[in-house]
Amino acid sequence: MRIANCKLKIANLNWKALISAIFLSFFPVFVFGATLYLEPKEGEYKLGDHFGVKIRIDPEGECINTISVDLSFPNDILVLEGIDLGESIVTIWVDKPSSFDIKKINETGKIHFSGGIPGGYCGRIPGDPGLTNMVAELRFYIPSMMVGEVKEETEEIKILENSQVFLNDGKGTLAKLNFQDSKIKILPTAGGGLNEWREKLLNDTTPPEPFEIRIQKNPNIFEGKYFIVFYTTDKETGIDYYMVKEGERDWKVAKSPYLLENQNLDEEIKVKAVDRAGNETIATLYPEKIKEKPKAIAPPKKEVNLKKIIQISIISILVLVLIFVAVLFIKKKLMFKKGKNLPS
Amino acid sequence: MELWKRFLKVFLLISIFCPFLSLKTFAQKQIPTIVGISVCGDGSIDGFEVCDGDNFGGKTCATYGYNRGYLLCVDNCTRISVEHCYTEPGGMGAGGGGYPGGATRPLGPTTLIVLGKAYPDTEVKILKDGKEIARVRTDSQANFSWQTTDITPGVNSLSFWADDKFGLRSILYTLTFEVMPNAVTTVRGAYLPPTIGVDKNIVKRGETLKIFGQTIPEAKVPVYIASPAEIIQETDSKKTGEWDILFDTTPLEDETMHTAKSQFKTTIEGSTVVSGFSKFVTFYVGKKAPAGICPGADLNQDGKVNLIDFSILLYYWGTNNPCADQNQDGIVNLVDFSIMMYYWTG
Repeated sequence: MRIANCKLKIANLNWKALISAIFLSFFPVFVFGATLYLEPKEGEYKLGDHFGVKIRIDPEGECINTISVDLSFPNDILVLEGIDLGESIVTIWVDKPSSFDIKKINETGKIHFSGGIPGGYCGRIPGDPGLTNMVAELRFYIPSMMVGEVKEETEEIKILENSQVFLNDGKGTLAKLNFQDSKIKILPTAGGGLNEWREKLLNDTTPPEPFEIRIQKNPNIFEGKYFIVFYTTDKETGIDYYMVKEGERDWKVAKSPYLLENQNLDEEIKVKAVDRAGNETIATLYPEKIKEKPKAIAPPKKEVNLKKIIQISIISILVLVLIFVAVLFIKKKLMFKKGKNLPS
Repeated sequence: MELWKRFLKVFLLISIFCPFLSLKTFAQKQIPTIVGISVCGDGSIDGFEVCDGDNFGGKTCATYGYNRGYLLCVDNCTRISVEHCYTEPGGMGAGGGGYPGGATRPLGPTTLIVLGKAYPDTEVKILKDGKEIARVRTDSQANFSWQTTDITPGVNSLSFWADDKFGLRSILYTLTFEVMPNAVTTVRGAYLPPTIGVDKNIVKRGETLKIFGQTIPEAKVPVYIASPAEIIQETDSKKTGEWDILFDTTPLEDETMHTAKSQFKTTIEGSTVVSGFSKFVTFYVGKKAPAGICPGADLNQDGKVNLIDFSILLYYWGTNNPCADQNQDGIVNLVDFSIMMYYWTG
């Protein structure tokens, strides 16, 4: 009986060990590759509700540097209100929608972002108080006027298959990528809670970070004409768009690189960075030609005057000394001649 | 029953073998440096902290042999001060920590401290969100520290790079993390991987190639040479941080471009620290190497990879410009942008 019990125990132990070993062995293989995911994974909302969906990236032990995300959402039920890029880990954007693009996005139900992190992103640092893996937050609204017309239904905000993530390996290698979408359950009852996005926009009074404008000229770009480059970030709601003003001309919505209209470089150039809440930071550049003009008309500095005075004084003294020596010399010669002419 | 036993054996073998397969896959990935963050001011004792605000981990003045007074958390949460503890005959017992009379700790400025290592006696360039904001010098042990209050709370991306004594440039090492408002965020372990260079860019098969660079003093430096089977050679760095290996190119494939990268391994404060990988250096084994166009994503060839190069890349986006098309696949796209992010200097 004891032997039989023992055998049974061993058999049980083998089963547990077997299951655990298989699970532990295969698990790392299954989680290989970065994960681009939406948060929350599931959500339940009522008509009139405002909510956010965060796009996050977990590099899963890899170091990545470029992210390109394409998303689709049910534009017959959801309305995109805004895009929050304030907490994004992406620092250099290649392509991001501005507030001017929201209307078009709502018509198509598709959003595209792409950008990068110089030096790469290798995941959350131990001790970091935040998750620090957000690419962007999309703020949605469910129109309340649909009451009575909508049945309870579940829709999906999907990360599209053409989304890409590149490794920080200097070769542009594509990372293996897993996706996790967000399921939205819409209840046909009236909701309409707090609009967090509007609150955030109202509370954001911090302007974008200060920045500088650089004038460039390259024989291979814009046919060798002068252009400017500019870039900045905003930690609250993210940069929405830039505007450029040359001299007395009107402000123009612009992107970097920007070809200057005035190639004479004799006017002030201003670039305005505007965040999603409408806060502005303006950078001003006085091109070299402008800088030179005030120098030319500026009164001479006191130091220069003093130097000149000293120089003139020394030269004058030297000239006086020379004249004095010359006079003495001539006088002596005349005296010598007179002495010679005197009768002995 | 026999069949079942065989099945069990096969599964057990797979179970034992698979973790090694997984570990091998993991080992091939970039192993991150041991880097950690502690936030002084969030009330939680973490990392190198011994206290935080009013949290002294249960310690009071009595812990230090006093029966009156209160403790203070000082030096960015790394020291408990007993300056305000005292002993009174017949005292009723020592108070806890914090400010007397229930006063709350005054809010300090948002501060960021970074402690790291690069190369001995060099200058480390610090970038915030891709733009250079500061330079600091390292000491003879390659240590550097940098502190600022000019930082906006929220998600910040800080990058570091340095040139070594040979003029070789390090990889851009980036840390992305959240800076807490009115607290001191300390980042420890910002260790730059070694620099790496080769004495010849073209080498005949069988010739010796010198691979060299600089790192922290007296560390192990494994060098990884890519070939069908990766070749690893290890050396030690000198007191000045210099290291080199003489590599026999016989095992490498002829008329092919090869790459090498390195990292450092050492023990710091009792912990084994392994840096990330260096920039990879390329060399050609054979007679004539193919010409490189705008190497290292420096599109305007000014020695830096920054917003100007990014703007040039955007200008050529979607075209086949040979300079901007870094991987020479006939189109300027995200792959080329990714290569630029790798070579970024700010």
